[in-house]
This record gives sequence, structure tokens and C-alpha cells, in this order.
Amino acid sequence: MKLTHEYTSDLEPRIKYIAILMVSFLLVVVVRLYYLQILRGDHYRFFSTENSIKESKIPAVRGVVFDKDGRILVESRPAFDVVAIPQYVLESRKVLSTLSRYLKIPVETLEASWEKRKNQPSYQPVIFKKDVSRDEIALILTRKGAWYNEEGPDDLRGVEVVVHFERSYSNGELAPHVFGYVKEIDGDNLKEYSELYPGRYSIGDRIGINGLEKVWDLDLRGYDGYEQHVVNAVGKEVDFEGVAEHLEQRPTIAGNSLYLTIDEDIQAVAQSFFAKGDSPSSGKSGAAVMIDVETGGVLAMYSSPAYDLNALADAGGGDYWLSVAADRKNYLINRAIQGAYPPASTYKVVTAIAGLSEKVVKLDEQIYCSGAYFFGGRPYRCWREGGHGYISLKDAISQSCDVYFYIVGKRLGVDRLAKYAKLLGLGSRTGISLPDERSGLIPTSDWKIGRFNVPWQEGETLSVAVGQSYNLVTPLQNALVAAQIANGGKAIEPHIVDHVISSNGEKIYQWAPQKKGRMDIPKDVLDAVKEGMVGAVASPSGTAHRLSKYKFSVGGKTGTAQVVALEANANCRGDKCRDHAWFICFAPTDKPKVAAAVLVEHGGFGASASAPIAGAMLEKYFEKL
Amino acid sequence: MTHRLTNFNWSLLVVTSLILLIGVVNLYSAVYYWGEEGQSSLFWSQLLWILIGLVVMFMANFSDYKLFHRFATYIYVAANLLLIFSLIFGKAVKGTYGWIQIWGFSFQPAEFAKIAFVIAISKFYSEHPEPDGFSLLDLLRPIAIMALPFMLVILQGDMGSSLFFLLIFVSVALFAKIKTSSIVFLLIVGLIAGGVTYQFGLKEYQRSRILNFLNPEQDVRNTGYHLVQSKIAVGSGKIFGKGYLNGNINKLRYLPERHTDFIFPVFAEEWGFVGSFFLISLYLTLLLMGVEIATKTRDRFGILLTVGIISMFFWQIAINLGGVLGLMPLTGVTLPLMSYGGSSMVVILGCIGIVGNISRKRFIF
Repeated sequence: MKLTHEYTSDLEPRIKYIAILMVSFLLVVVVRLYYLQILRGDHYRFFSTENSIKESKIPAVRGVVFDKDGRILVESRPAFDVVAIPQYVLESRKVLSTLSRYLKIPVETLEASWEKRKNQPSYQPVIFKKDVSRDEIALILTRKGAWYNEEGPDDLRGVEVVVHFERSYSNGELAPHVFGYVKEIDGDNLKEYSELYPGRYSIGDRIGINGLEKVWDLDLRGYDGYEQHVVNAVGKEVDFEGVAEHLEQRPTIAGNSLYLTIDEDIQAVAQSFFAKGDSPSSGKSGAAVMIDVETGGVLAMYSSPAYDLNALADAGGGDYWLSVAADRKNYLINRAIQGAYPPASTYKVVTAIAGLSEKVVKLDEQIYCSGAYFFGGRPYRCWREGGHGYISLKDAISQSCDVYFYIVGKRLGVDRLAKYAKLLGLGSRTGISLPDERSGLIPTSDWKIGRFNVPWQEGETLSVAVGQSYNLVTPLQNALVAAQIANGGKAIEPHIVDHVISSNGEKIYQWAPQKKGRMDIPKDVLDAVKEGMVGAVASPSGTAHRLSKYKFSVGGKTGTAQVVALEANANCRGDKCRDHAWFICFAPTDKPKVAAAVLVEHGGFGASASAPIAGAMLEKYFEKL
Repeated sequence: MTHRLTNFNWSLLVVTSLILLIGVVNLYSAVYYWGEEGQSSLFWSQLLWILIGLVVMFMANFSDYKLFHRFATYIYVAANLLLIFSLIFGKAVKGTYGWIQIWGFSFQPAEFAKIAFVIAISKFYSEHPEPDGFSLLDLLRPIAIMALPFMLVILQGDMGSSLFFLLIFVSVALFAKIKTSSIVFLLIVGLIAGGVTYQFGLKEYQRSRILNFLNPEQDVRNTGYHLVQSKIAVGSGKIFGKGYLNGNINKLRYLPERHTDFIFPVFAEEWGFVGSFFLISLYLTLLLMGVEIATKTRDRFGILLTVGIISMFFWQIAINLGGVLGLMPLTGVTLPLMSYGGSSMVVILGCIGIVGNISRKRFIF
């Protein structure tokens, strides 16, 4: 039935419902107004006229970093800053002159800081002096009374002392590269982190830079809290009846704590050798790494030169930072994972492994070393001028015969050599949870064409076989090689953090190996190479024989990496021409537990500069067992 | 049309003007502390918009609302095209794409879309009476009419406005009578759809607004902070208020939306319970006048159009006041005739004009 549009009696009676609905709702509004304005009116009036709600951020305490024995390596200490909140500063001149007297800072400096208030809201504090002494705190807090004395000389209205936390280190130069440091977040980082982890970072936050502080920042930083205060016109907190339940606060959650695999004592041994002193490595740059051969846990990772994290965290940290960052010795590089050096003779173990596995040489095959090997019309010299005579694999390792390995290398060719290097983990990052690790370089013929557009020359293989030429290896990688030889070919993953415990005692992370199984290298090959390395120490003609003095048995390989090409060597003068000194090792020789790699830049011979460091570190390890 | 000035609804004009006056005076106070620049430009531009709005109101008043009936479809399509246009070419303001800028003027197509929708929906219901109530099937077409602008506005990012389409639709549909079974069904669907939208459709800050309202302890700082400041401002007015221009100490000084969402607390702080009650009464009077006009109108389209406009007006007031008083989550909806906002002002005044027109015509049947 089509109804005309005059028909309205379905709608008309319903109109009153609309009226009822609207009146009801507005009645609710009026009742609410009555509640807010009449019943609680006094309450809100008090809030609004004389008082305001101020929010202050409560910084969370950053998590602690422990060594493997549970000793504290990195923790937090409270640092107090003197600030002023522009909203509550009534007479800035007088306040600034008061502070100038108390803090012994010239008024002009304070005025410069005070200018900054124009770029921020007036409830946000302006910082005048950071990390002040207890005496200065006491002075300010006692002099700031509840009432302002107009006739007195001092005006501290609006001035406050706020706390933040700084990092504090039991030994500031122990492992600055591993730990990293904490600094206020800058614009770029803020943008990047806000996108990656929304809600976790805001302006003014302190974040970890470099090292573990950066990689584990989300765990270490915890959650900031905040609380609201009611504050009166003079800036003093007021406790008004009935107010407390309206104030919001959220407690902080302290950061999680990291438990490292690092052993503080062994790390300190490495530190002592590189520090100023009279050892051959004193004051030199370099790195020392020790890892557990079964788990890959890093017991020590030292990089020299080291800077003092305590100095960085102190009040004068900014200037200290500038001097460190600008120094030509490159303090900031973690040479253990960012220093890529030619492995020199330490690489011979790789060549040996490759040669035996590919069966281009037999274990007992005698090869003749005359002191030089002629190839391509030029001599490739052995370090021993008179040569080693007939020598087989194990002795070639122990005595580090160059000619033997030139020949094995030539038989292999660069690509087969590279294959085994890569199996052992060289040429790629170990994946340790520290930033900016370098992958090193293991050349192949394809690589050379891609990089230089020039084909590989066989003569270069000879240099590669003894660890020179394009080869680049980091100390951690070299330690990894030694460890994997020592453990019979098990692939291990180096790591520094063993487990993480949250602020309420829960273990929230435990390191566990991702990969399992052995590398694709026959065990008897590794055993043979192992014996060669044992001989390097045990045998009187071994290049590292000086380490046999220790009660524990060590197997190792020395290396002396040319810094300057042989021809130019004669004309080069001074320390920077000296070769880099390498030493890799494992101990004890039967059922090895740990492996180490030490590099001293321009240290000269591996045996004299690096081996003693490794030996001392091992000595400390066995002392503690 | 020989009797232009007879049957003119003076009371409508008087009440509207009173509210406008209060609004203007209050707006001045709201921007008073913003310094020379902010103060002048906002204030004067609002006056300009009011003027334009009044012109539109008079034009609507002296036109013929039947024309809207005839051209309903065109109006509806034009509004949606404008929405699409603003989606593509519009400039982004605070994360929403709801603004179009022409010759230095910004306006919001969403406001225009609201009235266009009301016209369209009124046309539908006037042509399809169902004395026994609408079943779901019957409602499909009006739902579709609502769905288009609803979705476009959501795409713009304007949650508050999109809510409107839903509310107006429901109000008018309920008014036109829906079968009880359908109501129940729709409720269930609505709850589910609400839940889905909440989980997947809302942005984080929108979710947090709702969460924050339901559970203040879990506050995500800023949203709870605004509500607290708003309540303090309103409550501190007490009975007689703090007096004109005395209201802005500390509290609202930091609220960025004083001239829009929080315009009522500005007023309540200065004029207290007495002032607030008076203003609410004015709004209620205006709404009830609309109801009276609807009651006395003789044709379906007229009734429905009036009811639709009333519901537009009412929901806007309700949601704004509810939000600033802490009765419901804050949604960014402005208070009609009081808040700063050109498009809203022009559209609302235009709608009042239409209602005035309807009230004139009722004698012509």
C-alpha cells in the first residue's frame, strides 16, 4: 500500500520521546555540574587559584652489570643537579645572584643557562649545575625556607635539587669498549628509537651508547615513574586534605641486570699489560680476548687504548669525552672486534687444516725449507734465514716455517684455502652482541675480481697462506679459531651476556646456543694441528717455548704481521714500523677449557709481546679454578 | 511567497542570538591570554564566520525546505565528493585529513556532510513509512546511505565526527521505529563491531583515551591530565564563577584546545553554576523549540528533517559536555555555537535556518 506523504501519525507520537531523552541527559549534566561546582567547588577552587599540579619524572635506576662471579662491574650512583623552574622563579636577578654565591659560578654563566628557559615550557626546569657535591646540596636545601624573607640577601624561590643517576664503575678503564656508556639522547636517536620502540623513549632520557649499554639498553633502562604533586604559588609542595587520592603516581621499575661471562680478574690482567708500565706492550694499542672453548662465553675482552668511564660519567665528562674522541690513537674503537689485522703466522693453522683436509699434503710428508721459496721469479723468504731443512706439518707449525706453508698454500689455491677459513668462522661476523663488529676479510678469486677487477695471481696465494696479503682477522675471530681447534671442531658462538635477571629477581634471559654440531672438518686433522700448536710451546725449538714455564700446558701459535712491506722496512724508522704481534692459544692441552688471542699493534714479535699477556691471563684463569 | 515576514519564528532567532552572544564574549576570554596575534585573528575570524552563518541562516529560513527534498540526492553526492576530495587533496591537521583550504579559508567537509546525510536520510524515511517498524532488511538502504560518509570520515582520521553519523542514524531510525527483534540484533552486531573497531580500527591514542576514561589508574599522561584540568576549571567556578576574564589562571593555560573542545570549562570557570545552568537552559530551550516545531509540522519530510537536525545538535552538545565533565571519554567534538570553528558554525546556523523555515511552512497545508 503506497501511503501519501501526508501520513504522519506513525511519527507524531514518538516525538515526545526525543524530548524526554534530551531533557534527561541535560538533567544529568546539571547534576554533574552541581557535583563539581557546588559540592566539590571549594576543593577545586583551592586547586586552581593557589595551587597547581606539578608532575615530576622519577628516573628509573639502570640495571647492574655483573661479572661471571657476581661481582659488580657497572652500577648506578645518584647525582644531584641544581635547577630552577621558571614558573616559580619570581625575581630571577636575585635568584641568579644567590646561586652564583652558593655554587661559585659567575653570574654571566648562570644567565646564559637561564636564557634557555625561553625555548621550553615554564614548568620545565633549567639546569644550572650538574652533579653537585653534598655540601652544595646541603647549603641550598637548608637555606630554602618555607617563607621568603624579602629583606634577606638570598632568594631561592623556584630553585630545586633534583636527582638523576650516573653510571659508576669499580674500575673505569677495565672494559670501556665492552660496557659502553650512558648519555642523554639526541634528536636522531630519539627519532629512530621512537619508531622502533614507541613509548619507551622521550626527550631528556639517557640511553646507552656503544657496547653492552647500547645493545641491551631496553633491558637496562627499566621504566621511569612519575608523580604529581600539589604545589603552591611559591613552589613548595602542599599537602591538602583529600588531594592525595587524586594525585597520580607511577613507581619506577628498575632496569634488568646483566650477568656477563667476563671474569673481572682475567680482564684486569690484560689491562695491566697494556697500561703504562714496562712490559713490551705498555702503552701500545691492541686487544686481548679469552673465550671458553665449549660454550663460547667470553671471559675477557680488552681493547687498548682504553678510556676511563668514571671520568666520562663525572661532572667534567663532556670535556673528557672531547679529548678522548679527538685523540689520534683512536680510543673509541673496540679493537677486539673492530680491529681487523693480517693474521700473519697464526693463519698457518688454517692453511694446515685446509691442506690436510683437502689431502694436498700428508701429515708426515717432509718438505724442504731452504730459507726461501722461488716462485714466479722471485724469492718468498722464510723468517729463518738458513731455512728449517726437511720439515713436516707439526714441526712446521711449532717452528712457524713459512716455506712449508707457501708450498701447501700453492697446492691448495686461494679458494680452497678460503673455504676452510670460512668454516672456522673467519671472514664473517661472529654475531656477538656488541655493536659495529667487523667481519674481517678472507680473499677469494671471485672477491678479487669483484673488488679490483683484476684476476687472482697465484703468487698472492703464497702470501695469503702465511697470513699476509689481503687477509684481515679480528682478535675475537682468531680466538674463535683457536677454540674450535681445541674443542675438536665444535662450532661455538661467542657471547658476552650469560643471563639477564629482572629487577624483581626473575631470570628473563639465558643464553643458549643456536647452532649445534661440528664443523665439516675431520677430527684427526684438527688433532694434528692441535699437536703442532702444543709443540710450539713444549718443544725447545717452538716459537712460543717461553710459555712452557707455566705449570699448566699450553698450545699456541705466534704471529708477526708485517706492517710495512719488506723492501720499505729498511727505511722505516720508529715504533710505527714495527710489526703487529699476534698470539693465539688454548689450555690445558688435553681437554682444553679456554682459548685466547692477543694482538699488540707494533709490538714486534708475537712471542715476546703477545704471548706473555696470554700466558698471564691463562695463569690467572688456572689460579681461580 | 508573499508573506515573507509573517510566521517568522522570532523565538528561535532570539535564543540562537543569545547563545551566539555568550559564545562570542566567552571566546574572547578563552583566547585572551594568547597574546596580540592569536587573540585578534581567532576572535575576528569567528565573528566573520558567524556573520556568514547568519546570512546562510536567513537564506535557509526564507527558502523552501521542500527543495532539499527534491535535490536530496544531489546534495548527498556533492557532500561525499567533497569528503573524497579532502581525503586526496586536503591538508593534514593534527593527524586528520578533514580540511580543505581554499583562498586562505579552511573548512571541514565533514560538517557539511552531516547535514547532507540528515537530508538524505529524511528523504528516505519520508518516502518509506513503516508503521510496524523497520526490519533489518528494510534498514539496509539507510545503513548504506550512512555507511559511505561514515567510512570516508573514518578514513580522514576523525573518529569523533564519524561517531556522529552513527548516532544520528540510530536516533532517526529509532524515531522512525525499528522492530524490537531488529533492535536486539543490531545491538549485538554493534557490540561486536565496536569490539573489532576498538582492537583493529582505532589508533593507539584513541584507544588510550577510552582506556584512560574507564580506568584512570592506567593513565597515559596527557589525556588524563586534560580531563583533570577541565574538571578543576569547571569545579572552581563554584556558584557564581570567578568573573569575566578571571578564569584562566594556570589551569587551562596549558590546554591547547581551550577555544574548541574545552570552551565550556572556560565559560563554567568564569560564570559558575549559575552561568552554566543558564547556558544549558538556553540549549535545552533551543532543542525543545525544535521539538515543538516537529510536533506541529504536517509533512513527513519536515518532521524527519527537524528530528534529524535536533539529534545532530543534541548529540554534539551531549558528547562535548559529557567529555569535558568526565561523564564519557573525550572525543574532540566541539560545542555548537560556542566553540571556535567556521564550518561547524555555518552549518549549525544553516540548520537552524532550515528549522525556522519548516516552522514557517507549517501553516501552508
